[in-house]
Amino acid sequence: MNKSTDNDELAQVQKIGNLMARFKDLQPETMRFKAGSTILIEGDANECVYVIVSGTVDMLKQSKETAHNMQIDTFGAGDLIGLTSFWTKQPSFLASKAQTAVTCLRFNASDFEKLVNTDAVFREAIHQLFISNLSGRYRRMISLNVKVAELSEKLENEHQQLKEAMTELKQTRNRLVHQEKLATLGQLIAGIAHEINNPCAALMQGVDRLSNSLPTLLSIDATSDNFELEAQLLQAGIDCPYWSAEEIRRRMDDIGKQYPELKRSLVRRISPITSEALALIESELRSKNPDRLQQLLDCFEIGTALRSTRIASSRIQALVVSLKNYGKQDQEEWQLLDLRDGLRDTLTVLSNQLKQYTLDLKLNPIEPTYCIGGEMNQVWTNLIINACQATPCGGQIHISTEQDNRELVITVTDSGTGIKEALIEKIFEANFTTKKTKSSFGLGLGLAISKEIIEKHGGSIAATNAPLGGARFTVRIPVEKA
Amino acid sequence: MKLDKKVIGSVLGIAALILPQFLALEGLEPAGQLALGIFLMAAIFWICEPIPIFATSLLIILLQVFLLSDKGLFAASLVESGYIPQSYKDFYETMASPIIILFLGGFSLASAAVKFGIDRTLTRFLLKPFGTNPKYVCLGLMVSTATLSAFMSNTATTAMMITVVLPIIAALDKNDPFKRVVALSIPIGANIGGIATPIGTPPNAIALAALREQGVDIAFSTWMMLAVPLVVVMLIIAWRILLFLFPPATDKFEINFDTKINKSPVAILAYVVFAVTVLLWVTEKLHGISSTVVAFIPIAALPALSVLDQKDIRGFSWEVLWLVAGGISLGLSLKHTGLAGWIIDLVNWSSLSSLALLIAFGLVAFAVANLISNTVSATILVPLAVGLGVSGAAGADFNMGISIVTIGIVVSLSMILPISTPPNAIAMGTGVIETKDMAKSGIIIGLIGFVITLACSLLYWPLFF
Amino acid sequence: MKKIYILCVDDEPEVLDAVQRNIADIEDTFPIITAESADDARKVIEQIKSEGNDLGLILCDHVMPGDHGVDLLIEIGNQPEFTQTRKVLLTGQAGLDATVKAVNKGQLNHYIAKPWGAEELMQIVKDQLTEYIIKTNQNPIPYMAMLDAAKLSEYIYKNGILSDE
Repeated sequence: MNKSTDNDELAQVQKIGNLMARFKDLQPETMRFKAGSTILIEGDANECVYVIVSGTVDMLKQSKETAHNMQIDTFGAGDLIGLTSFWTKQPSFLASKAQTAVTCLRFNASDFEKLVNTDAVFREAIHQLFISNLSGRYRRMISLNVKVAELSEKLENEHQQLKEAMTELKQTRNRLVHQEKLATLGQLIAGIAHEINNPCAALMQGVDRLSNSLPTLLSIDATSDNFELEAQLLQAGIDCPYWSAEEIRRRMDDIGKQYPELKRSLVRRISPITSEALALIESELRSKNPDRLQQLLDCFEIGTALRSTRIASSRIQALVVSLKNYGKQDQEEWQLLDLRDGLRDTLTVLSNQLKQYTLDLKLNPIEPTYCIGGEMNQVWTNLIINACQATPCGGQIHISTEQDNRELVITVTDSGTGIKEALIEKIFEANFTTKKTKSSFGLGLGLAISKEIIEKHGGSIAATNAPLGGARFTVRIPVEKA
Repeated sequence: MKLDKKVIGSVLGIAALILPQFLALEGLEPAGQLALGIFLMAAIFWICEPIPIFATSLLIILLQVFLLSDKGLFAASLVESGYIPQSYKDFYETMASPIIILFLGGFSLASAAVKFGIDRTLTRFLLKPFGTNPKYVCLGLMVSTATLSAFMSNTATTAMMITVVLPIIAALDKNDPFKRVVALSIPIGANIGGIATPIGTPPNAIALAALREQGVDIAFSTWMMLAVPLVVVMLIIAWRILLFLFPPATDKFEINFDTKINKSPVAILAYVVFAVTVLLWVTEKLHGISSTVVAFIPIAALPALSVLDQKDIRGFSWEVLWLVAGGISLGLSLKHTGLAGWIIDLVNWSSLSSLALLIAFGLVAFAVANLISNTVSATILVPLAVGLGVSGAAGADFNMGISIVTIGIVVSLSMILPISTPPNAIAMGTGVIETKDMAKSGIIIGLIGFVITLACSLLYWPLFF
Repeated sequence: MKKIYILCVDDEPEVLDAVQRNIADIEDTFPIITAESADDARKVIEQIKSEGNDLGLILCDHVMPGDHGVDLLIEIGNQPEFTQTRKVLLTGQAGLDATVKAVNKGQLNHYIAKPWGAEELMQIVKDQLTEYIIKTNQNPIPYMAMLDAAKLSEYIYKNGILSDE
């Protein structure tokens, strides 16, 4: 709304005044409105047109969605109110409300029409007034529209940025949780690798021994005695018990005394043979035929190799079963589970880390509950690894489960130095860690993640210091049947 | 087992010391009886080794001083029996005898050689002309080992050469017989090379000391003149025998080892002293300064020039010197108490020709030295040869000097078993060869060597005696 | 002659078996003796001591039930009979702290990470025993064939361990 238009309109008003003096029949009614009073109501029929003489009027439109009145335009002196409804005979499109004290002239519709129809000068003047008024409105409308378009674009941008920030935040959180998971996983894998390594080495040894001994054995002259002795020694090897190192030492001493002419390397190979089987090769031990003794020892060792391979394979198998159960971590599926199963699998997977501690398990029977097994395993893993890290080697770790009415209570207690009272509050915060940076694996999110998981299951987790020193983590989970 | 042998050895040795004192031995004076006790005990101790052999030598000197000397427990009664005891100093002085000093000079040179790598440099220099043909490399190894061991200890030379060849042996095919050739050529070269100079190996010292005792002074160069031709012939024969027994499968064998010639002022002083001493030794006949006198040049000069320090001098094989000193000392009593003559008289030698006697001594020396220490073998046998010569029992054409040299040299040709000499033990210890390889080559080389030594003693050495 | 033992300590029978097989070639020169815990090892050591024999090498796991390998090594190193004993950790999981402790207080000579190679283990055992023979001034000849012969003959040569007799 620029100044020149204002002046134009004031000129128009003047013109109207002059006209009015000319046409005595048209008697406009001078009306005064107090600030805040309504001039026209939206939706009402309108029979009049108002010309503002002084003051300003807000043009309002009611939003269909919010029921709030939105300001559409502001009219001042020279502007016409009710022009469209007056002209089109439709209900008033906008409400008009006096912003300040307003004086305006009201023209009655019938008088107005009569004059327009009869007086060409008036019609001309009034048309001019209307057009200039409407074109002013139209200009304002356009600039308003442009502004709206600009604003909504800005809004859209901000909205987009906010959205991006949100996504990024989500990703970061996921990444951190993922990293924490990976760190724990790394630790687990190292332990498991070590656990699997030993039986694997035993397997390799066994296979090596078999591939070394079998070819020579198969080249023996079959004329001997139908391999009866060989078969017996092979069986003795398969049935051979596991001797402790101390027993092996004692047996080596005994055999060394009994057959002082045997080399120590032979004595060692003979030492695991049970006395019954040893009786079978008594004559070969005394005889000076090293090749025959070698063959028979090969037979026995093929037997022990088979035995170790079997034991090693079953150890690997058991480990793999536990791993499979444990590894359901990524299946986000609610299932009815006995929490103790997950605890046991977690303990198997962590057995290498736990080797240095005395484990005290009191897994009292508890009802199964609906939960996400993988996530619960993550909680147990975090709690047990924390306990290991807090406890010096050779210490004790207690784990118990029990049912308290409709709640399952799982506690993990270590025998470390406990948690400082001042820190107990902070312990579940992200990035809380007492581990020294150089030896820490995770990001200090373990407990925070655990807390989130437990809360997702409708439960709670609390840290306290055990009466005998050491930290105790108590997890309470309501029994959910569906 | 081992402990038993030690106990038996100790008991037998002590019994052998005491028993002769209570037996009526015809023709043997009380002093002779005491000497017999000491001699038998020493022999048993040396053979059974209940104590280290050099400790037995020290024990000999102790017993001689206490039982046979003028300051001994029985000095008065010995004088009464008509025996004039030797001065206790005579026994002590064996440790400072010119032969021991000659050896000490050799030790000083060897120590400097090891310290400044003279031996390694020399080895590379000596090996170069032999190329890479395995046959000639083998000869090269034997020649360089022999050359070094003529001036250094046979054992140290062997150990050094083994460190040089082991890495190259390891690169050979596992079953290549040439491995065994290389591993055997070194101890054989060292054993034979020890014969070449008076300081080459301790038995030479025993022989030289015995000759000195008889008033025969052999110059350094004279010994070399009588020994070096034998050494050269023996090396060539041993070389051909090794190649015959274990023909090499490889056609190239290159010995590469890094030696940096130390050019520090101290090292240059060491080279100079080394060269001057050796030069003076081999030219003894020209300038007339005894090698035993020259020997003190390196002993004094090397520490004076800071070439050798306190630690190096502590590192000398003093026990070898004591072993030789004990042997010389025992020889003194054997002769002085008439024991040697008495032992000789036990056998009627006149029935044997002088050649047969020489063969007998040689064979016994060869056999004994294969089982026990070469020095000890010489120590026991040389006084008997002296006794035989002095008593005249063997007849006029028995040449005592030649028989002493023969004994001294034959013991160095004994190399059948790993225990025969320390070089054999080291070569065997590498695990590259088996006892039977060593025995095969040792028997053939030893017997041929024995025949050639005999030929020398009949045809060549009479030129010197 | 005194026997020079090799003591292997590990709680896993498979590991003991494997170690013992990998170095079986050396057994007739250096008897191998096994123990499955620090306590068991102490018994063996007492036995070796009472028989007047030597312990040339101890090959020890670190993480075992009961006392840890590093502590056992330190304890053995402090006994006057075994100050020269070569000490080797054969382990998959001794942390930095434990290893530093073993080096500083237990005179650790070597660290072998599990899993190991048979030839690598044999070579390390030979090298360590060669050092043991040299450090204890023994006559190296009986051991040369089994150990680093070049190093031992160098030792004979440089130190005049043997002399002509």
